[in-house]
Amino acid sequence: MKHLVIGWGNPLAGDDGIGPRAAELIANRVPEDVQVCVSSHAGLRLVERMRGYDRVLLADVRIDKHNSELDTTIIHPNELIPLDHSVRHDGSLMEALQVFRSMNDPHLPTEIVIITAPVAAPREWRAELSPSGERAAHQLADALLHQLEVTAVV
Amino acid sequence: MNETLRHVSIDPITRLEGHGRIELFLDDQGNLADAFFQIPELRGFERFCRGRQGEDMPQITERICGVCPEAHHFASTKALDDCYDAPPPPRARALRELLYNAYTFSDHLLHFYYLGGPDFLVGPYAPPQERNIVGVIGKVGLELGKQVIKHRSYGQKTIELIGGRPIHPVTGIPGGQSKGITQDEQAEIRTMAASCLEFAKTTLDVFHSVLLKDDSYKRFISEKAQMMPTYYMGLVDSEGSINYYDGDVRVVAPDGSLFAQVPSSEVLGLIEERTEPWTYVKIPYLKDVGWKGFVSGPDSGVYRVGPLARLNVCTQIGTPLAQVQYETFLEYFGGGPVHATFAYHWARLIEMLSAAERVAQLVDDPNLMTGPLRTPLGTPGEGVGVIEAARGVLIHHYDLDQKGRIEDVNLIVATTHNVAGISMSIKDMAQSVVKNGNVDEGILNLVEMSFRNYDPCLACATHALPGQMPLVVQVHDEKGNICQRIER
Repeated sequence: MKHLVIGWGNPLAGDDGIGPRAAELIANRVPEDVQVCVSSHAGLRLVERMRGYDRVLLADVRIDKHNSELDTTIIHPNELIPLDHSVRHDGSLMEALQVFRSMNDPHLPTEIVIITAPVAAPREWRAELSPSGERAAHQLADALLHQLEVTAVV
Repeated sequence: MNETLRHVSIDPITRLEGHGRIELFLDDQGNLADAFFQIPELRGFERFCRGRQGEDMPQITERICGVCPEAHHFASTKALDDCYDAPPPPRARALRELLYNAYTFSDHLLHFYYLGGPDFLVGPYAPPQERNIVGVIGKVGLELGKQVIKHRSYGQKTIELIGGRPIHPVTGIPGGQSKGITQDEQAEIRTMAASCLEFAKTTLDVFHSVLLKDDSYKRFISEKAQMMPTYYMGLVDSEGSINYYDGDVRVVAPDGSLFAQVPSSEVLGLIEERTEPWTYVKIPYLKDVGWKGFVSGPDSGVYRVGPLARLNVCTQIGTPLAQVQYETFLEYFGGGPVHATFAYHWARLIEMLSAAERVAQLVDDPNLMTGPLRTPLGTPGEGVGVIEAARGVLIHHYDLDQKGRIEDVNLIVATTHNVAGISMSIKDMAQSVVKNGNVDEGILNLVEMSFRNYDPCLACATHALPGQMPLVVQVHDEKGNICQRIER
């Protein structure tokens, strides 16, 4: 099974860079056949990056002032319903997945695991994470490793 | 502003706070009084860059945008070339231009099939659940959908082979490129380029056989209400051909006469920027014409950039197949400049073909595989880098101190150049559909279509997870209370 881990976000936008930081933390701790990368791309390009892998782990953030826990969502692209609206400029991850699903793309992953860390602050231009963001990145990294372990990759 | 106007807000809500909003103001009769395109962009980027090493800027600035990092990467690299008085040697230039044309091809392909094309391939009045790539496939066949995916991946692969990474290029450095390509990689690019060229031709065939035979598209490109005679700005080479990577900045007037042509390093002398209280974005205009408001015509300094503007400023395309398409384009409109805003779509496809042709040419450029990759750097100073992003002129202006650190930065992106034009297009469209206070979901489609011509870059707004980016219309009464809300 081919695995890809994507740290998704903008490392120059403060805590939006938690996903990329988590990817950096695990880059040297995964088996050689697990690819780890960072992406700041919007939806369509993000999905293009996922093509050819069986399972993708996506590390991201969500704006959430009320829940301090990591959240895990599992998407099976083959089960997505058809797109019910047009796409503007680029697209969200779900829109992009639906686009490729609609075209019967055989190279989509069968499973995408999205793990998000909560952030409260709006985005700002800053190359460093906040202290709480750094802690969240470590939690996210542990969760990514856990996901890889439970599928017996490690 | 008249307080009795009703206020209609079309606001995409995203994970990271909306990055684009359309404000429509209605008069007391319920008809459109005014329209504005707002970009509540994140401020402070210039301050963030100050004090950083100049050579880091190509990697920093490409993170501004999740859609076109290649454009920022090379605008930045070119600004640094200028700062260090170190023009890239022929081999580095060929590598950059090859990558850059692959990006232009790939970006235009995406826009036509995924974003702008469905409006007409499926139809502007088709329900949203059909007016997307699914509808396109229904119209032109699943096989074409597979070809779209395949050729997008070819474009991305070419970028990766030259740019060093599949996501954000890293090979552009001041004075050149950090690496070349192997003969195997050259062969791979050559094979992909041949296929991309065929696909670009196929796409033009689809355009001619479907869109140009479609009454709604023909109406949109011929309606007087959709004509906007503005100035146009774009890069041209020494022969007046389109060049996405480099060249002089040329500006033509609404009647097609040459208004100005300057080396790209002098572009900032042509424009001034003004602020408006309703948006964070500075609105540029032609300094020597002056700002007369959101109006078109020869007395207004409003200018437009992007595919249509590039076709209006050039005197030829510079590649044979796209040249034929360009002549057909001009013949259809009875000559240039073409002011039909919906012709942006057609212009984009002609450019897609020209970019594919350039990739096929450049992959066998005699300079590509031999020679130095970098010019020695001079003393750091001030520099300007100008490039044609897929959606228009992109300007990076840096001032470096003696140690090569950033003292000042100014970026003028394509969507900023077009803000006035986009606002005017939205107003024209909304005026035609908002009557007697009747605001329904149909307006979302049509207003969206009007700004989609420009492919405005609101990349952050698309970084939304999970699910779709909703579009909301809020109708406010004369006291500012919300009296109607439309959402999908």
